[in-house]
Amino acid sequence: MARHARHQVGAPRFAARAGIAGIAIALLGLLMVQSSSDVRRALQPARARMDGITSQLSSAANHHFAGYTWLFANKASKERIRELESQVHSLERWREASRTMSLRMVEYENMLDLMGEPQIGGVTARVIAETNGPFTHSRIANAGAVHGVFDGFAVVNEHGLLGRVVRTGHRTSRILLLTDYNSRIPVMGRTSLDRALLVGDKKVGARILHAETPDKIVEGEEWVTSGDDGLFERGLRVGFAHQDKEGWRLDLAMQRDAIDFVRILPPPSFVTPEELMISDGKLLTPNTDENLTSQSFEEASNSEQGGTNVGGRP
Amino acid sequence: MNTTTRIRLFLGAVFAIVICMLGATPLLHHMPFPLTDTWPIAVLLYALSTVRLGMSIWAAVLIVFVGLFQDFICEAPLGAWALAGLCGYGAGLVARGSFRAMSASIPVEFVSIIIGSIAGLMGLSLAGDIAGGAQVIDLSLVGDLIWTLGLYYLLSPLFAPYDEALSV
Repeated sequence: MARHARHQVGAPRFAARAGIAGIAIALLGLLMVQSSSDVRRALQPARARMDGITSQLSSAANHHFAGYTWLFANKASKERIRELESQVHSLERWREASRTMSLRMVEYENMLDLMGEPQIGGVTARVIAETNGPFTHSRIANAGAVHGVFDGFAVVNEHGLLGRVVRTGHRTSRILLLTDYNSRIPVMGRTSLDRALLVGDKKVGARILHAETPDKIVEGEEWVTSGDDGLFERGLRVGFAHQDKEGWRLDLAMQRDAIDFVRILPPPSFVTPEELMISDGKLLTPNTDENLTSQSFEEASNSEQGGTNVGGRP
Repeated sequence: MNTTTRIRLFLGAVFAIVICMLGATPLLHHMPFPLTDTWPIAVLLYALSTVRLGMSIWAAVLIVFVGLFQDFICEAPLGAWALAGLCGYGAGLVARGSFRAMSASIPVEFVSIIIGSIAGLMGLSLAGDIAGGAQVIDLSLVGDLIWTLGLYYLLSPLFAPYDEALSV
């Protein structure tokens, strides 16, 4: 009774206060520890497992509530279906034109002995969970390591580039969107051929930074991936340039519609000289005094005739 | 705090987690308010609801539990939402105690949830600064907060009972 009365009048409860303060300090410590990239990396498996659980529950919720969408979006859905039908008719013409042009381009490349862009495959997946919190803009797709998806893969939808895979679980993958602050993508203008870095910005979508020739950028110009990082295929549509008070930004193509189905693309299969040497079993050896030798034309001629030692060595 | 209240608080925490999970479902996220694209902040809704039960370690632990779960779902640094919830809870408690002592005419509950919300955002901002987040406080977060406060009077009885006689 006395204890009850003491609480009613709001007498200090030092144990409870100390406990709550202790929890708060522990949380601050936990946050501080995570400023280390090693710790963040160590947490990745746990987060990947959690992505799997989230995607399963979201998928179940999607399935359960899908029948109620007509309550909110019946009219909009019908309009969308009509719009998509007209787009399909239009795209069929483009598909035929594209096939013809592709065949011609292959012929031209063969005639010119030109190294064309590699044709890459990919996986189609559906976005089953999303995260638009204050810390990150990301999505979870229902394709993971078992489907051949790995970190760094590019993700596109019917409009253009969405972002890249930053974590893969067994059957899920987390996609970091272009709008996320941590997103950095090398891009180029289709008309100006200016190259820059696309940096995510939650307010406006994404900004163009470090442009080589910003005075050549044209308002409304289409920007695509430059492929300079070797991770993304060159020419994936990203958005359209628009200038505001703070500089150039892109109206991202991916923001035209809600994100649903996506295509996850592996990096182009460019093989670096080092990788080629390793694959052939001929590892490059570091340069030393023994294998670094200079050789003049005359010496080379003599050595071929068995006259002198290379580099004057005994 | 009696056992019934503890169990109810625990069930409230589970309900808060369900709200958080549903927010990650694209279909549901866009259905009620397709233009605003906002969703209530589950951990703040829970923390502000538990303020009226007074100071309690049990409530604080459950707030941290919900917050950590939200950190995983929202891909936030671990502890960020938990800290925000705890800040909101603490500030709400202080405001409630102070304003109740000042004057009976002050709407204590309303003032305490406003102060708790602001403290929650400040806690989140602090967490972002510590763990390397950027631009944590933005318009969409404020929209989520307004959504949260709008739902408070509707949903808070599910998290914690309205019983002034409760002592914790």
